[in-house]
Amino acid sequence: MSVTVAARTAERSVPAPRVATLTLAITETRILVRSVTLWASALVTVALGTVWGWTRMPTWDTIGDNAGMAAVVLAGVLLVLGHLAVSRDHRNGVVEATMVLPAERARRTIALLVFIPVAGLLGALVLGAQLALLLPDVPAGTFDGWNLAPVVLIPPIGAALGVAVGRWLPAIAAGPLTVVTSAVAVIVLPGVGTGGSDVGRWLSPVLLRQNWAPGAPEPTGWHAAYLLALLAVVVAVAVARYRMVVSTVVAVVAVALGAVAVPQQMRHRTGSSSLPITEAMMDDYVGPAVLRCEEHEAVRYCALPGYQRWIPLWRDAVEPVARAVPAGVAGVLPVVRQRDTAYFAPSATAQTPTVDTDLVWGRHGTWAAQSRLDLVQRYVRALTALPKPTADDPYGEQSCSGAGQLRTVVALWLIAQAVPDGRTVLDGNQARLGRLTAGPAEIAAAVTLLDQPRERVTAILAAHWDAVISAAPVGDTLEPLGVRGLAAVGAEQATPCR
Amino acid sequence: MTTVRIAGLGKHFGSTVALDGVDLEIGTGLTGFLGPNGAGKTTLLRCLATALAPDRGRLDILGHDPALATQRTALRRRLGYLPQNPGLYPNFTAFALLDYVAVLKELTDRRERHREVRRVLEEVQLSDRAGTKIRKLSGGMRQRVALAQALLGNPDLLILDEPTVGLDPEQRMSFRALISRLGESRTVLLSTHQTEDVGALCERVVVMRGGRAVFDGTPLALAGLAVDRVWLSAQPPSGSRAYWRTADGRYRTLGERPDGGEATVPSIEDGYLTLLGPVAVGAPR
Repeated sequence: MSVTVAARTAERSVPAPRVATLTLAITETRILVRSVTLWASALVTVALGTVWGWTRMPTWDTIGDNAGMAAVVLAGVLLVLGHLAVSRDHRNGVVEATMVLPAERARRTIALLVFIPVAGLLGALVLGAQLALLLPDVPAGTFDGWNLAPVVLIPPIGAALGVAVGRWLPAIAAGPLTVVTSAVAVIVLPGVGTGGSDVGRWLSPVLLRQNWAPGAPEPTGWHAAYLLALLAVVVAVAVARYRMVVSTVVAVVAVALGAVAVPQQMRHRTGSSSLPITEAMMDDYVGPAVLRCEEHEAVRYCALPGYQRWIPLWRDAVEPVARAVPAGVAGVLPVVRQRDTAYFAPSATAQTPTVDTDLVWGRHGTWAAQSRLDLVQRYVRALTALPKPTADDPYGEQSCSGAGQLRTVVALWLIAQAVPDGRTVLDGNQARLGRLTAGPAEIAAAVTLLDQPRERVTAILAAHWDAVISAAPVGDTLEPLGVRGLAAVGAEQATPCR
Repeated sequence: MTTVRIAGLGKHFGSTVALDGVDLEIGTGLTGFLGPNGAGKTTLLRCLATALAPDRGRLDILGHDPALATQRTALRRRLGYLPQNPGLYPNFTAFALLDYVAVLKELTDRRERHREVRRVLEEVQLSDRAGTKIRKLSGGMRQRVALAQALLGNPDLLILDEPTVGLDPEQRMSFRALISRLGESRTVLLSTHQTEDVGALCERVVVMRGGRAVFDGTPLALAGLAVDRVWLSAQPPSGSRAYWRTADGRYRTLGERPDGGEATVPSIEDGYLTLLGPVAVGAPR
């Protein structure tokens, strides 16, 4: 008997602790990746990140924002799965059977930290899927790895948090409750500030990037360092019960790193959109040294770095307008310039007529049509010298009547002939002339012009261009084109445009 | 060969004394533990399985002292334990669960581990249910899966607390065959209320009461305690509570000879009931 026992004991070699931990980590990974919940959440994450940006032409900025926010969902699910995995030995009455196994809780906890790289890979996979779904549209703007770093760092933080909470609070409700608490923190943090420093914004895992304006937030390597520090603190909490000294050292170093990283990130960008904008700032963000300009058919287009691929879209909108304007009579054609209109008010003092186009462009369908119509309208307003925004009214919110004015009819015609469904735009009263408002008579006159050959209209405009760019009444100027009987602004119509 | 030495083992839970100085030496083979509820069987087995630390006394199991952390881990590598209420993960398949437990038992080579999992599934006759989720298995099948996880790694010491609960007669027969085979080459400790199991399997039986081992001997010796204490009679005995009517219409009595009673061969159960006296038959102490 004793020979048999001895022989059986001898034949079983004890694996090295690292090998045993690695084997357990691989097994836990296998269990995790077989989870339907995990892949369902990955699909939801891809769907959210894609849907949030589906209507817009992709840019690296918006991809970073959307993927980062969507990664929070994945992180939440990984938190729950991590919690369930680490607290598995407390559920279903297995406590006693598992506690007498050679792989003790310390090893099981450490092995489950494998969820961290798996979550990072999953984050990268989700980001890749979102980019693939945007094909064939290639993101515009400049690629910035730091902007995308949260997509691969936030899910690991969620997974690690699940393991940490599960090791200390194995009750099954603790996982979902932590998700809810974390979600509230993510929502509330950006609004938390002390003395106007907005420090809460920088403690939030996702910084919504806005690169092309002064003071706008932009995640840097310091934000990634902060996220890594956060991850390290959570890992330290997870293994503190078994590796107290190492955990303490890691936590102290991580907190120190975070204490340096957050102020450094804040110093890089204040995060405030209410800064007074100086000319120097303007030059820094949208000055000649920054913009990439091209000239096509006498129109100059200036795009922010990486946005040159949008110039063909702008040309499709602008060139039908430019071609309809009599050659030589309109002087220098307005420049199309890209800048963040959320941060910069339209210029009221530019020497060369300038049309601002935003960092957003519709990707397809009605969104693309609306973007095109918006640019056409802006260009026509600049071209026909319609009332500009004033210092008191930079966004042209105080309207005035353009009834009976030649420029109103011409502007409506220019817009309608430059978009594919111009007559519908006119019939639906969708054309916007800034401060200038048009009535049914002006719209009807523009429809009449739309029925005429463009060359005939252009010839008449060439002969009366000075009247076009003034507040002159239509009079009999357009009679050869079939427009007659258009009343001038009456006394009853208040605030006529000058 | 002695594989388990228990010396002065004591354990209490609050004011309740669960183990009160147990001394035993156990060797290779099958040892059964009998005793009424609260006798300390499960507490003793939990201490031996390293699930519970005793308050006093010493343990030497397979040459390891479980009070020392490093030796405890070494012991756990050679231990198979089926607790009284084994839990299983309902969403795992039988194979996946056993594979997971095998990993926790440090079987690191995947191919060997899978072979071992298939072996124990074969042992408990569940090979055809390897891919079935635990929640879809019957109670008896789950008990066999729980037994299979204890068998993983071919342990030198097998501790089985109430292993036959939920098994039907056929399964119990198979279980007995398996356990007796295992007991040929290792130490198997079996706690049960089924005296037939002890009689059929164990070469040694320990009866516990009040946290102490009150009998330690062979099943035959235990049955021998009831010699001349078991009777068959035509009329029910007066004043005895330990009797019942048998299939042939006579009354089987444990205790004093009833009128017209004929002595009959005692069973292990008779010996057990004789040993424990009124406690075992429900009378007040």
